[in-house]
Amino acid sequence: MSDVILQMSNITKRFSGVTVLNKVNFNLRRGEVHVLIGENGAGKSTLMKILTGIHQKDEGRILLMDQEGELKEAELDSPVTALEKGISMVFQEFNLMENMTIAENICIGYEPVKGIVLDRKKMMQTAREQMRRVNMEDVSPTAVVETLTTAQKQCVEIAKCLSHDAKIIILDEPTSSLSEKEVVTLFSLIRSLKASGVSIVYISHRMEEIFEIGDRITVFRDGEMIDTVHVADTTENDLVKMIIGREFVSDDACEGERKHEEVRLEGRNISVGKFGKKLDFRIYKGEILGIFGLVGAGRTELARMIFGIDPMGDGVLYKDGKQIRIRNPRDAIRQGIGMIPEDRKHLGLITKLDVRDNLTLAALKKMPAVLKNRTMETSLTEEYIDRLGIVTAGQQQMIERLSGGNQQKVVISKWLALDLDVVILDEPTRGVDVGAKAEIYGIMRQLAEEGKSILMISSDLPEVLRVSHRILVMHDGEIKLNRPSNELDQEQIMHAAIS
Amino acid sequence: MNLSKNKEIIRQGTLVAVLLLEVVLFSYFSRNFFTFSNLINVLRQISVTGISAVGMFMIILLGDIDLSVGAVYAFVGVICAYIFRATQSTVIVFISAVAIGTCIGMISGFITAKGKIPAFITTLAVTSVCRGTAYILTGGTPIGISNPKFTVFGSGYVFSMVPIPVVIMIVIVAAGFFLVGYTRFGRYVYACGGNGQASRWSGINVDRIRILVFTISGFLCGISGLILAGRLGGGLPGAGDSAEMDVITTVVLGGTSMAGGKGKLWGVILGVFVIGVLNNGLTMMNVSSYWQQVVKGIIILIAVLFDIHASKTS
Repeated sequence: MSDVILQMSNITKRFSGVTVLNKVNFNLRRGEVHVLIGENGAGKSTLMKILTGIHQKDEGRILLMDQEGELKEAELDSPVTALEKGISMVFQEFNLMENMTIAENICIGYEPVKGIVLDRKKMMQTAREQMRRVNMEDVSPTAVVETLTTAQKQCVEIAKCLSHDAKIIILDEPTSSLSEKEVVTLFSLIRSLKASGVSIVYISHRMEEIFEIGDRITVFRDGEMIDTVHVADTTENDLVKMIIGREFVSDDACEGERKHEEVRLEGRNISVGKFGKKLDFRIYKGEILGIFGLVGAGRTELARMIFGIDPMGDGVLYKDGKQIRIRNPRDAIRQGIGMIPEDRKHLGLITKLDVRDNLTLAALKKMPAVLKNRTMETSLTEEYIDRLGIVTAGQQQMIERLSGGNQQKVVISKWLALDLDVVILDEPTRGVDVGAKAEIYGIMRQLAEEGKSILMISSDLPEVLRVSHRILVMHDGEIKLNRPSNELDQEQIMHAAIS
Repeated sequence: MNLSKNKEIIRQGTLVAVLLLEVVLFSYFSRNFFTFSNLINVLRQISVTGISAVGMFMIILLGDIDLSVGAVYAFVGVICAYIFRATQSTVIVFISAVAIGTCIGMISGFITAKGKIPAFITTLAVTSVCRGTAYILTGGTPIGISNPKFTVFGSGYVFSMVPIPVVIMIVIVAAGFFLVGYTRFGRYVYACGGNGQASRWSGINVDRIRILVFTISGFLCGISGLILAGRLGGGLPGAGDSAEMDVITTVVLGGTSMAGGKGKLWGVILGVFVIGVLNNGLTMMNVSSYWQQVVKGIIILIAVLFDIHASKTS
């Protein structure tokens, strides 16, 4: 085991009382590509943020190989410390100064100087040297970063890591925005780094890649490390089983099927994201349609188009059989479509206002322009506080002081107050405690009973199966699976989402 | 809720205390300060700033700023002086002032909202255009008008006791309270300033609210500009130099957050009085206007420091 260069044992991390990593063990060998896999929120990123000094562990030990080749306990208290110990990370949304040149980016923070003057000659030399290692000889170090392609930017990031003499490079979903050709180039770069003794931690959801480039795989689920396996000893099926676990029981799975046959909303020829593929979908009256997919599959993009946040392009929408045109959220609301966004704090709530002002914001349209004594608003707020069981000290409580679940109920109320036909919920139970989750499911079912159509986007597999009448699985802007939920199980869904 | 409400009360209480302190100090140091005629005078002096402050309050609530106030005063004053010379009509001059101010506000709002430019830049450009045009038209010389049919806006009286600008200010402040506190539009202003994205997601036409607010503010600046021209006795291309700073000072002093979404109009009105009494009192004590600028600068810093500190402790 002398080739182990990093050993993390019993790492535990809590965020405001919630355990996000529970006694996780992880080790990395010299010159290997170690894949981390797991659902969103399983703990992969948190572990990597601890390794790069962004977060600090609450418990556990980190051993790192030093110059003498011995494993020694390492204190990774800041990103700078981690960098100096040879640990670098390339984030999905790069960390480059777009307005500066490649050379300036590579040397940032460690610029060579002569006295107090920048040593440009040395800087160019360093940049060229590192760029050669990432096969970028054909690009000038003086090129401005914003003029580069995504793949080139990624290479600059890796060159930056190498300039710090990186022994461990963490790549977070490195292929998510690359073309197939660029992926091939990246993989050959990764292989050459391996050969020179650099270890790569590779976070990815894409099975085919994992089997192509990985040496070992560690699976995470719900903040725990499930297992570390050799790529050669495992199959895609084994991995899927490990990712989703087996403890799922369908306690109160959605009873029966939808009660109506009328199509409420239909979309045709919709092109989502930059995948360049077209998709069609339909949602029936009184139906809860669950959309599952991994991050980046295009689910939220689809919802944003339906709600008029982003332009629809060539796509066409029909509501109750009639073609409709939605250019902005106001049009959507006029057509009876509302959306509860995932980013509650920035898109759903106005944190400077109180519960009543937030709850009535969308419904104000239906009230007279002069608000007399606020009686209508007060009674409306009262109604929804009762109906949804919102726990608040009063209508004039500042919204920030409510729990996540109660904030979400306020956002839901905002749309219920408008009596819409179609309600889109994007990750409706994220950051919500278990009790409130069940209540939110209850509200959704009740709405469906009333004949409203619910479109629920979720990354929580048991949730999608439990709540939806029908499930769409998206992957790279396409619908890979469209079937009633009672004909599906977790494995089928996960397969469709990652292949 | 209680915490933030308490903070609000402490803040307004402080302003009231500062105002009382000013009155007491100035009454002590200057025999002529606490007289009926001087207090009426204070009211007349604050009317120009007070009227514009209602508009600026809404703009800052949105998280924007308007730097063109003083230049709009000058532009409106100069054009109105020409129009008065041509028509000799009080009514036409009033309508022109309001129309010019409204148009300028609408243009600033439209460019800011649709062009997605910071209001800081738009209104800085508008300042330059308005002030420049005022100088080009006049060749730099004031258009003096002593006809009371023109100066009535600045120095006329109702019932020979209450100055006309004061009456206008009272009407506008009352309308401001109604608009901000009791209408859907007012709520939308708070919402858009608090979180523009979330407002859009709630079906609010954020661009339209922004254009409307700038239009209202322009309308009010038009009125202020005419009052100032009336007091100065004609159209001066250099009128209202850095008047926007006085207006912004009162709004910030009144506790309106520069980040938008937070503030109360009555705080702004208190701010108008604190600054107005300070200006008047220092003048009565023969303190030079240069020193007055220094004092105002220090006050605005203290007010903002207080604001930031108060929001941190919450």
